[in-house]
Formats: sequence, C-alpha cells, structure tokens
Amino acid sequence: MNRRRFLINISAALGYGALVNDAAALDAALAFSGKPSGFLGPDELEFVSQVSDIIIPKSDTPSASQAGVPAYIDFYLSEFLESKARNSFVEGLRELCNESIQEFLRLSEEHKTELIQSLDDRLGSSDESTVYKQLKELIVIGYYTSQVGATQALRYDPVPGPYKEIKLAEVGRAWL
Amino acid sequence: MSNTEYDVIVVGSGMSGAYAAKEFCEKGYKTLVLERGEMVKHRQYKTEGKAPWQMPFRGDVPEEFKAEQHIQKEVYIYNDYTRHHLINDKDHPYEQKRPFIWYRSATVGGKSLIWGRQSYRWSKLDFESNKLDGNGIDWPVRYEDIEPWYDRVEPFVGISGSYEGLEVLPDGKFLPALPLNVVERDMKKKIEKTFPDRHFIPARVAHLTQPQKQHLELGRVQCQARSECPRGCSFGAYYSSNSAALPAAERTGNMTLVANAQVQEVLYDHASGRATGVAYVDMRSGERKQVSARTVFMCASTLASVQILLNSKSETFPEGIGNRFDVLGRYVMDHCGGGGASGMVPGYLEDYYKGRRPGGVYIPRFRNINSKHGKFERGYGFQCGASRAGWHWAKTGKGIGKAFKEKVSQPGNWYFTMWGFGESLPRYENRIYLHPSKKDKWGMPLLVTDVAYGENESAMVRDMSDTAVEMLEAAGLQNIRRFEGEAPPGGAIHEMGGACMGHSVETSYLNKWNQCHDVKNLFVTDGAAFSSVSCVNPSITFMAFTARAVDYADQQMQQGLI
Ligand SMILES: Cc1cc2nc3c(=O)[nH]c(=O)nc-3n(C[C@H](O)[C@H](O)[C@H](O)COP(=O)(O)OP(=O)(O)OC[C@H]3O[C@@H](n4cnc5c(N)ncnc54)[C@H](O)[C@@H]3O)c2cc1C
Ligand code: SF4
Repeated sequence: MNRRRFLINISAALGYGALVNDAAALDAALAFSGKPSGFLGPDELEFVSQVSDIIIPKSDTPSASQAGVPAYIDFYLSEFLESKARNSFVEGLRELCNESIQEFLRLSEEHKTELIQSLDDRLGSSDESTVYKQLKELIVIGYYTSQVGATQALRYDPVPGPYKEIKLAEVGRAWL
Repeated sequence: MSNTEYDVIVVGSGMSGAYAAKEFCEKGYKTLVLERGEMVKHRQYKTEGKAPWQMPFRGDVPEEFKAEQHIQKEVYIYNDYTRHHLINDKDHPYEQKRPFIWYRSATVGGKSLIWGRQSYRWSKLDFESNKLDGNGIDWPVRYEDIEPWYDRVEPFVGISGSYEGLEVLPDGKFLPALPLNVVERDMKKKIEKTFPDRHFIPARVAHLTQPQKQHLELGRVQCQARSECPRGCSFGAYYSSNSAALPAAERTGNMTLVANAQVQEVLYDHASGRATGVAYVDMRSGERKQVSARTVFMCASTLASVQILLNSKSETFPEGIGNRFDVLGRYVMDHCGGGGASGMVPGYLEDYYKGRRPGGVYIPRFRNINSKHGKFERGYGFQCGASRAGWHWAKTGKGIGKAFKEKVSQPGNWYFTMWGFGESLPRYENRIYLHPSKKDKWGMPLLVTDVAYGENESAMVRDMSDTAVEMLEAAGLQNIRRFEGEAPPGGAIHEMGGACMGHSVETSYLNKWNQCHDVKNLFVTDGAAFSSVSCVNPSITFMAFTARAVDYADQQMQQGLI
C-alpha cells in the first residue's frame, strides 16, 4: 500500500478532521493483516523468519513465524519507518550474518543458533549489535502483541471484570 | 429581562464546562456550550477495545504524527490509541518565553476524556496557606464554603475511596475503594509503623466500583478494570463530560452544543457594564459569529480562558475585559513533580491479580503540617502502586529459545513506584500574556507563557525523592531507584491561576463567587480561578467551584441582579 495514502487513511480513521466512516477506513488500513507488504525480498524475509523462530521457537505454543512476526516486521519497515532508518536497518541485516544472507540460510541449525546466541550475549555490552537489538525488539513486540502471542503465549482478557487478587496458578501465565 | 439568544453561554465542554452546562440546564436555563474541539459522542470511541494486533503499528505512532504533535507526544498516555484526543500543536501554536508544556484536548469533553481520574478534596490548610505564609493572595473562600459543593459533585461523578478521617485529606462521598493488593497491604503496615505521620491509602479515583441509580440512569455501569480509559469507555465507568455531564445536560432539552467553535472574545457593553455574549469562529468554515446571553461562564481550561479574556478588548477594558489592574494572567502555577522512587519487592511470587486496576495508592501530604520543615514551604503527596513486571522487559532483555519464551510467559517480580506531586507557590511574575502580533490560523492572538519554578519547588522535589527512597527502604524494597526529574511547568497538567479569586479588584480578577469583580455576569470557573494549587489533583475541585458558582449565578439571575 502507498505509504502516504495509508497514513492518510489511518489518520482519517483516528479522527484527524476528515469526515470518513471510521470503522471502514480503519479496516481498510488494517487490510495488511498478516500478509507481507513486499518490502523485504524473499531471502531477507526468510532470514527474519528464521531468526524470529530461533528467538521464539515453537513450544507448547506457536513460534514467532507462526504468529505472523516476519510479515509484521516487513510491514513495519515499509510503512512505519522513515526511509533512512529503513535502509540502514536492511543494510544492518546483511552485516548481522557476515555479508551474505544466503550464506546464513545455508548454515546448519546449530550454527545459526550459535550465531544468534552470540549476538544476544553481547546485548547491553559495549559491542552490542544495534541491528540485532532492533530486530529482537521488533520480534518480541511483534510476537507478544500478535493475537497468537497475546492469547496463547500470554493471557489476554479484554474485559477482565472488577479487579481482584488471584494466585498465579489460577492463570498460570503473565497478562499481556 | 433581556432578549438574548441564550440564558447562558458556557465556553468549553471539559471538566468544568460540561458540569456548568448540566447544572444550568437542570435549572431550566437555555444553555449554549461552545467547544473548540471535534465532536466525540459517548460510545463513539474509535480505538476502544481494539487489541494491539488490530492496530497497524501495535500502538506505536509514526513520526509524521509526532511532528504534528511535538508537544502532546510527550504526555504519558500518548499512543496510537489516544493521539486523536490530543490537539495538533502545529495548528495551535503558542510561544514559550520560558518553557511551559501545554497539554490540550482536541475534542468535546476536553481533558475529562483522557484524565487520570485521581480525585481528592482540598483541605482547610490548602485554602489558608497563602494567608499563613504570605505567598500569593489570600483566598476569599475557605474549606467550609466549598465542602457542600464537593458533597454535591462527588456522588454525580462517582468516586471510589476509603474513609480515613484525615484532616489533611478530607473524606468525601465515596463508592467502595479499589482494593490495595497484597504487596501494598504489607507495605502499608511497614511504612505507617516507621512514619506515623504518613498514611498509605487507596487512591481515590473517579471510577464506578458500585454504580448508583443516578449513574445507571445515564447508562454508566461498573468499571471492568481494563485501564484503557483515555481511549474513552463505553461503560461510562470512569467520569468524563462525554459519559456523564453532557448526556445529563442534553436530556433536559435545554442544551445546545456547538463543536469546532473557537471562542475568541467575550463581548462587553459599556452602557450596561455587562458582558453581552461572545464572538467565535466556526473553525471549519472560518465564519465569524456573535452570540448573546445573559451570563457567560468561562471554562475553556486555565490558560485558554485567560487567553480569551485578555483578547476581549474594549474601550473600557483595553487590556482585556475586567482587567483594569494588570491582574489577568498573573500567578500561573502547576504542580511541581518528578521526584519519587521505585524498587523491587522481594517475594509474593505466588500472588497475582486479574484486571488492570485503574488506580493504586495515595500518600497524602505530611510536610509542613504541624511543624515547619524549614527548607521549603507547603507540601506534596505521592501517587503510587505495586504491580508485577510483564513481558516488556523482553524487548531489550537477554535470552533466546524455549527458555527465553518460558521466562517471558511468566510474570516477573513485583515493583512499587511512587511519584510526587507538589504544591508550587503562587508568584506574581509567573504570567501569561498575548503575543503582540502573532496569531493562529483562525486569527486568535498567540499566548506567551512566562512561568517558572523557583528554589522552593526544587527543594521540595529533592525532598520528595529523599522521602520516597526512605519509605521504600523502610518497606524492605530492593534495587531502589531514585527519580529526580525537572519537568517544566505544565508537565503535571494541573495548571491553575491567571484569573485568581481574591478580595479586591486591585489584586485579583474574581470575587469569592468566581465572578469577575468588574463585570458581574462574567464568571470563570476552571482552574484559572485558583489562587493557589494545593498538592492534590485539582479537577474535582474545579467542578465543586463550578457547581457553587452556578448556584450563585442562578440566584442572581432570579433576583434580576445579573
Ligand atoms: C493525561 C492526563 C491526566 C490527568 N490526570 C488527572 C487526574 O488524575 N486528576 C485530576 O484531577 N486531573 C487530571 N488531569 C487534569 C485534568 O484533565 C484537568 O484539570 C481538567 O480537565 C481541566 O478541566 P477544564 O474544564 O478546566 O479544562 P478541559 O477539561 O481541558 O476543558 C476545556 C475545554 O475548553 C475547550 N476550549 C479551549 N479553548 C477554547 C476556545 N477558545 N473556544 C472554545 N472552547 C475552547 C477545550 O477544547 C476543552 O474541551 C489530567 C490531565 C491529563 C491530560
Ligand atoms: S478501567 Fe474501567 S473506566 Fe477505564 S476503560 Fe476500563 S472499564 Fe472503563
């Protein structure tokens, strides 16, 4: 979707001035729902998808890619980020896997995990990778604010009723 | 008496204006409410109930919009769910001679739609302080004068709270309090034992914990603890103009509400010595209009009301209506804040909660009550609460794979956070005025803010941080972090003053009835009327003064005096 038009749709939907039927405009704007907007190329998308699943794999609940995280990241890059920030992010993705994304994709599962683990270990240190940091943040947000992440990996209750104290065992997981 | 188009014009539909409209309409007055913002009807809240995955950027706001809202984007509730309730700063500029953060609403209902709902009565001391320590001008009103009006407003608003019998924080007419949680109950014991003068009580918030008949009649029902309030709440479970006062006014058939109407001037007639009505611009068409009424109530919010009054120039009042002695725009204040602390509470890992409780703990003022603190005048209170960390740490935290995922799925430790809100001093030199030449696109002269905190406020904020840390230590918390921010005035969003109440026309703008000394059918009943700021959140007190002023204006009109 054209970025400008998209933003204008959303802004109308959220009440900046224009007299547009909001619900319809919002739905239109949300038509992306899970489908990649085609900003990242197939290899880049696959890379993001694999990294997402290394960080948030399938367990008793779905993995990050199963929750639509790669598509969300693709959408975020194309529609949310300013072009400069967007380009430097994509540049950075290459740097993450030592030059070539294709090469990364050919590595063994163990090797890929090791690579991500070593990037993750450096988080918070002086030589942390800013792109990894940004990517992880997007993966985590993308997952836990997705319907799958919020309702399965976490607990989500849109209308919880009056506040009350419970034991953790009664719900077993953290609330969104 | 006169043949005006309306009995009353109310400027603004926020916390003060909508309540004024309700009271006038219920007394049978034909009331016109003029509101700058866009229409937002109750239950037409565009983002209410939307899950994050239904929002394009999961709640994050693109830079384009932040650029349009370069001031508003800093307010703590600002996100993609709420931003349409805040004004576009590019369209509504002002000049900061000294830094002032002016948070403003973009809608009918004003800031009542997005407020934090904390609601506390002022105390006897609050009304006496100016006289006692000589700062500012003496209030012409005491607690006893306003008490019956709290009694009237609170049941309509619906405030949950506990009865504590404290002189410093008078009890009101409450619905059941929101409960303290297990961590807070234990902290209360420890803190109150170590510091017998400090009280640790449930926050008093405008949430219907047990709706009464008058709430249900307006379709307002019990709070569901979603804590998504600033998006608007179709349950009407927190108080807003949109959910309560405006529907109450509307059902009388006496209210006319015009949105997108920027009031620019109160009109004055020299011969009769009265305000005759107001001039406004239809912001959509740009058309200028005048409308007449017997009485004018200014409720456009503190700064905006003063701006309009300053712009109401006539031969009699070249410096703004009723402003013969350069009192209008003086003594502008906000609460000072930024002091506080947070810490980790060890244990309680089996305990959790259901629902996002919309209010936590309050610690009322304890400084300068029975003894002088010495380093500063007046005092501050704390807004606080304990809750468990959720998944957000994982955004920047370490870990990958199943173990990471498992850890994120569980709540983290309990944390307790406390923020101070302090009473800043009224100062004559802290003022707002009109820019001599610059105007907004509708032709309204820009406001200039020239307001700053002083040494008293800095000393108080430091003390807030000290006492916060000291209390968290006494309660056995770990990893205690001390906050000591220095946000400019406006940041607490409790701006008051500018058209202060006082005893004489030489020193104040309003008399003890919120009535302009020089223009008897002109009233200002929002925060502009306040001669000092207490340290408690002010809005319920704006409403109490509004109710009292309406009652007085009603009597005056009935007697043909105005
Ligand atoms: C995020 C947030 C949290 C807050 N938390 C609390 C809290 O917990 N407790 C508390 O007591 N207070 C709180 N406040 C402050 C509270 O919202 C205000 O004190 C209160 O709304 C002020 O009431 P008012 O009627 O003076 O102004 P508003 O509610 O702002 O209403 C004024 C109205 O006048 C309109 N207006 C302005 N200029 C013009 C014009 N020229 N012509 C026509 N109309 C005009 C505005 O559009 C607006 O609708 C909070 C505020 C915010 C933003
Ligand atoms: S917490 Fe209560 S008032 Fe706030 S949105 Fe939820 S139900 Fe409404």
